[in-house]
Amino acid sequence: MKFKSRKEVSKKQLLQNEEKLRNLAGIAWSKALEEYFFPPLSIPNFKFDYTRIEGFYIDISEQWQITMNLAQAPLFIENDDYVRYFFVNAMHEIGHYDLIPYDGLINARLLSAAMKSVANIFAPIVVNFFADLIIDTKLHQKYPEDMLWEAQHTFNGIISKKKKLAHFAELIFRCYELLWNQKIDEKYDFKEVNDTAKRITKIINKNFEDDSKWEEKTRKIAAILKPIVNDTFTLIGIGANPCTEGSTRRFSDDGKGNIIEMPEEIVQIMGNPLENRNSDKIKSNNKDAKNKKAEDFAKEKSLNEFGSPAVQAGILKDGEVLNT
Amino acid sequence: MPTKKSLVQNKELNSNLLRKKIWKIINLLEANQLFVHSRNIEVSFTPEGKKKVEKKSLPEILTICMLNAIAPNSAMLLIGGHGGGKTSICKLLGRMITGKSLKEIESSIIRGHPQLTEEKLIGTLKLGELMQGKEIVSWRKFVIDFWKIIDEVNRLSPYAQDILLSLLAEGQVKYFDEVQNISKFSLYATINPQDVGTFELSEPFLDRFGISVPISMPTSHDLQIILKGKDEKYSGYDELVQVPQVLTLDDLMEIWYQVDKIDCTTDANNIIHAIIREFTLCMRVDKGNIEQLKPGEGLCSGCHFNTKANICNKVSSILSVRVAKDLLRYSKALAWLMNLNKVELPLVVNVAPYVISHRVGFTDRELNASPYYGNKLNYTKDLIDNVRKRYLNRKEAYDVLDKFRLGEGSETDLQTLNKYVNNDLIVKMDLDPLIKTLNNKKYAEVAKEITAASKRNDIEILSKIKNELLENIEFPNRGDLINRCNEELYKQTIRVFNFKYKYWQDIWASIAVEFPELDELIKQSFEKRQTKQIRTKDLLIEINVSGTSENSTVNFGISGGSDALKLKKLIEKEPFIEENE
Repeated sequence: MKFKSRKEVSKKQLLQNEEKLRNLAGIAWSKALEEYFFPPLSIPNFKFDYTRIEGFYIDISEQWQITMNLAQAPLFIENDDYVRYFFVNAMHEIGHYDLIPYDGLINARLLSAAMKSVANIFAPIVVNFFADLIIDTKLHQKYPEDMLWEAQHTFNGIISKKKKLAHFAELIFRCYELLWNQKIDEKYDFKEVNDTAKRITKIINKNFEDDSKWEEKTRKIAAILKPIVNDTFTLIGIGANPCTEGSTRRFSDDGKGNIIEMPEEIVQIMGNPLENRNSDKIKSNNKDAKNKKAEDFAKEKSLNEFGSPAVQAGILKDGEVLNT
Repeated sequence: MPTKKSLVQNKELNSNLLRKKIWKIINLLEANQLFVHSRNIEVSFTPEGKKKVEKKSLPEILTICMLNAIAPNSAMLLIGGHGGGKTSICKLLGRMITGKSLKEIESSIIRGHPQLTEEKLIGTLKLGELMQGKEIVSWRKFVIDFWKIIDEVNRLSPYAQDILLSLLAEGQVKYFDEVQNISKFSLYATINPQDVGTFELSEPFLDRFGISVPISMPTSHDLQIILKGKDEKYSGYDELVQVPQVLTLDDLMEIWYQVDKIDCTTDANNIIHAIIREFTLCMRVDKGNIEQLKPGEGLCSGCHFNTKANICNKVSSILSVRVAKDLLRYSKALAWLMNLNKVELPLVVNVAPYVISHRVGFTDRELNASPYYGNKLNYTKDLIDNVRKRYLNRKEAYDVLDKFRLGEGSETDLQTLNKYVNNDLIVKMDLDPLIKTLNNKKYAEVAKEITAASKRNDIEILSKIKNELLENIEFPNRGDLINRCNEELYKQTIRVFNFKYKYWQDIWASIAVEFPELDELIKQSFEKRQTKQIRTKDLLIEINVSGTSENSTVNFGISGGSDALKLKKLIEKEPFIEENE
């Protein structure tokens, strides 16, 4: 009689589990598409990145391709909970397509507005922060229980490893509480970010449905966020000391190869706040990837006027107009 | 006098007999190993009286070639390397369908080459007459023959292409001051892309070819069958047994008439619109009117609709109205071939790649990448499947449009539509603006009046509404309402009479007495094998002359208002008339 080694069994189990999660995510995706009345998006790349460098994100410059790292999901007993979790996250990512930024030009305008107060390199953080709050509040209007449930799971997942959150992470959760008028955690003390959260949510709530105010709102929020962003995110050089414990590093999206260090929980909540994600690939030496990437950037002359925001938004590269 | 039931049965028998003949041609070509090719197409369809979609496998090349023969006045491209049997299949079909000998078919083939002059293509002036100062044209066989084959059309110079363009576009050829009308033809052209000395075919020229099929080389299994077959180089074809005449031109004209009369479901109609618009629309520019900025050249960067599931970012050209018409014509032909009485959505989807692939400019990147490697037909098939899925997803929006067309749209319907506007290019650019123009009281009132009059079969009111609309230029979206009136009037009044050609003068005389203004037009309609429509304000006559021998069938359709009723009564009295439907 031949026994399988423990390693073989666990690998098989892992693959089975991944297959199960892929199926459940597929169900959640179909449901989310239907909710949005079938936008023309292709099936997400379902990945299993156990280092959790990748999360859930949508990539404008890759024809709005959504990536979902299913390994990010907390451990659930019930399959329905997995579907629920993936559904909420799929709805969020589709929200970036359907609602904000909606297209590359709006993205560039919002980045441009953010750059009036924060360094260019940090502008995507502000835009992502603003866009996430808008999308999730819209979703909360329709699915309050699901949204709260997901936020609580994310919060509990972080708090189980770390007693005190970074201020920026606290701010995100507190903003959700204020915008949704619901408590994410009854005991956690958000008093250090409470005033800032109040100021931000007041801006968001005023004429909430009016998307023509987004640029103005982004500009105002960027000014408020400036000190906290500068405290939370650190620009470091290549070859700098190893990452601080509880922090993680990501490439910036300005095409200059800068690296930014940030608390891990920010990535857990927002994905990479510096995305476009695929700029990581551009900085590699893969010529095909570069060429293909170049094809997706803009040629439209007016975009030159946006300069850096257009680079960040994925419609210009290195200030040059690129052919596709 | 035959009863109406027996006439309908006769009609079905006749139709089935003709269909059997067409299948016999396909079978003979395969069974006699005249054209061996094992590639098939899966045709999805809903059999009559059933709800479930079924699939049938048909030989791809033979079926597509046959569709071109049974769709009226059609032109087809056969694309492939040398020795694949492109020209042979055109000749064999010509022999079996028209009854002409292979030698006669061969004699009217045009072989493309760069020095082909107008004289060799179209005709020459008769020398004898020219000496006397008269310019009389002696037309080439290619021009006057029904079955037309152009071999290696991409070797024709742009000048020769222009001459053909006029033939295909207007159905007439001009030489000196003479004009030859080509009212009925079936045209096949071959292209060998690898040929030396070829010219690029312009988009407008390619657009004149309604359908195309790539001819790939036979497989090993096909070759085994081919090599076991008869060596026609040694013994030639046995035209009586191997390549017999199966149809007559009269038969084919009757088939054309039946094909033309096949109905189209709303779904099929809508998917045709969807295909055309998905390939043509762009959020940023009018693709038909730009030269530099195109998809694949920066146009789509950062666009909301630049997604993998959209078609707009993969196509640099537009699809013309001609494509829409061809989609309908070839779908009808396929429906007839499959013995279906309606064109349904799956049939359009099956036919579409063959109608579209040769006339679309694609962006190179995806087309040339795996798994297509430049195969336009396979790429188009996948895009069409995408269009189908997207169409089914937005079906609710079409239902909303239909409601507004009937004047029955509500605020809730508008809210439903709004959910699609953000992310669906067709809803955003076509359906939503159209619904906004239909959403007004005036339009809704008249639309409801038309519905009510149709239910009551009230031809007079329908005619009255139509005539009022014709005179009111400012009425919002009156074109839509006039079309509805026309459709209803047609449905309520259409009667088709059949008679033998030998009685045409009796019919002509009867009509001329009561309708003297139609005298000359009716006479002209019977002059040769042709299909003609005669329109007056209150009357539409469709005459299909399948041939000019005594027993050739003439289909005589009448529809319209009070004049139509008067004419119908007149025709009914004739003793030789067989009412068809």
